[in-house]
Amino acid sequence: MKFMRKISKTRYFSTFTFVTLVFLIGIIIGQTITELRFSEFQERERDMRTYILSLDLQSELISKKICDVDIFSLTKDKIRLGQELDYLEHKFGKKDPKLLPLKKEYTLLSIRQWLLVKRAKEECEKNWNIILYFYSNEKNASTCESQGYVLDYLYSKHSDSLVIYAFDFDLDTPALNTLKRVFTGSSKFLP
Amino acid sequence: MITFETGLLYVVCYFGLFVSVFYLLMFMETRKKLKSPRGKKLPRISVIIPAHNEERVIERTIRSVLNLDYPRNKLEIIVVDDGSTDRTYEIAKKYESKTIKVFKKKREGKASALNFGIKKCSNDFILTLDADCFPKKDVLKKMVGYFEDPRIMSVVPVLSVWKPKSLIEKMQVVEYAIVSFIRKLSTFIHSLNVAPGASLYRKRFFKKYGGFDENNLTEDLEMGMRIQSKNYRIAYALDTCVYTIVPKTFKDLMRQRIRWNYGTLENLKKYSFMFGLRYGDLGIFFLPVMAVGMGLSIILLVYYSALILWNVFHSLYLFSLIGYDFSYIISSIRLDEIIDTLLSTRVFLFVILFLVGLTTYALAKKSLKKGKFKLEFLAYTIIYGWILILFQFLGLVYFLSRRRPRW
Repeated sequence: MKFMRKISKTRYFSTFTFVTLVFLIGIIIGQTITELRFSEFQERERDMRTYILSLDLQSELISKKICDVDIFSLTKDKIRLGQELDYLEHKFGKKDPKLLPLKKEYTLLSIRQWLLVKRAKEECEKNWNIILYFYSNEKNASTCESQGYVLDYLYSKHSDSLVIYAFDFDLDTPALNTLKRVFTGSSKFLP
Repeated sequence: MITFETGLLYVVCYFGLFVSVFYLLMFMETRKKLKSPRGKKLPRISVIIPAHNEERVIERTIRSVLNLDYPRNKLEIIVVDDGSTDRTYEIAKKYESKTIKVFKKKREGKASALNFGIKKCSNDFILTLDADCFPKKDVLKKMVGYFEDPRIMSVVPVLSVWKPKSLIEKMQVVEYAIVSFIRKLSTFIHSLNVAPGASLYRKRFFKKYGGFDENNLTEDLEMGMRIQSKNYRIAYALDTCVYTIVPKTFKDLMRQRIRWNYGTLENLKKYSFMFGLRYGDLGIFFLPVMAVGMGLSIILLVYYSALILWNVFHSLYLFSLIGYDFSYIISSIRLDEIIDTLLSTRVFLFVILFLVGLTTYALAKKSLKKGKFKLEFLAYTIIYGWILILFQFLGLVYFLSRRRPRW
């Protein structure tokens, strides 16, 4: 005697409902954590922008007294912000559309800060070494990663006299394009 | 943006959770039906023991059958020596009697020896027993009750590891416990599709549909699939067991598992017509889960092996650029990155799967009444699970390259 086969429709439906619910809850929690992380980063970036702006104003106001302002300590905050950006890039992918505006703003802040540090170095005769580093996530990405690792290492060894500004060569902002043209002669090709 | 890895993990986790929750729901519905039914009568049974070069265990196997709690006059034991080159035949011959018949034939494989035995036996029920298996005393009494349902063609007992000593054997204890539990649950959706090393059959099935497939590498799986394909049932006796000797070394385990995985693929291909609505839960859930599970496991293994290897070599290369300055390497480890890795989707999803596995193992232990929960499970998940997937991958390579594994 053979038997008639059945399909456990109710069981599949209950399982599907339960698992989908668990998954949706998981995704919502994940999204919330991500949003928190983003807003935290944006907040820090806002603080940084205010700080740079105030320094900038200070240096303009006191004109030749830029040497009285502790510009170098600012670089440490910038590095922390850069590390945070690295982390977000690592987590969400380098081309995540949410990250792009944050990265552009960070780049502009970096350029602004570089100008201040450069001015302070010249005017206050500081023995600082400034490195501008252009990297690409698209071309020679692994070489750039290795170079970035070595630069991080150098910074860790000479953090009191070395300042490194790393710029994503593929980022399209007018200020960065000008900087690229000044240093590489082109805004499209890496030197 | 969802990366390949996140997408893969979501699919694996959804799949894993779906299958596990499905089985857990089934367990909750059926947990009071796990006991084997008591048979009203004890039928005459023939026990076939195929043996090839089993001089170390054949005596113990015969004795374990003689010691079964079953009327001796209702037992017939047939030992088939499949071309052994050691003393298997001589040892078995010592036990020859009215109950025990010993035959010798040229070596043609286990399936051939079983078919030879089927022709020689005179009873309506046949227990096929591998020569390295030792049944518990109550095994037959627990199994025969199922045959009161005329749709059942085979009954399978739990297989337990015989005296596990090495780590490899202990890992198999965990594996066998989980597999037994899942096999029992599978019977509630009429999907058990394998009748391994020690199974009880109705002889009339062999008469009607032929004996074991002698060209099949996993003839027990083929027989299980054949029974299912003819719309008969296979039952599972969870409250008794047959002890089996399992591979003790990595090499032996690898050989066995490559053969099993090759056989699984071979039979999934042979019975591919069973996928789909026509075969109910077996066709739309059990068989697809087997195939998809195997595929996903292999993709995970290949992806993560490549990722880990790449990260190791890449890190070594980066360290070489800074002259292996370990003070920097250590100081560059960031606590927030570690915390973040621990909280990442990757780890979170694996933890969910781990907890599901843990629950399954705990329930399996409880249902099998096999002592306390042991920490072996951790090693099982972390190491052994991946090794099993590696063997699946190797089985697939053999299958795709049409290279038949050796016995």
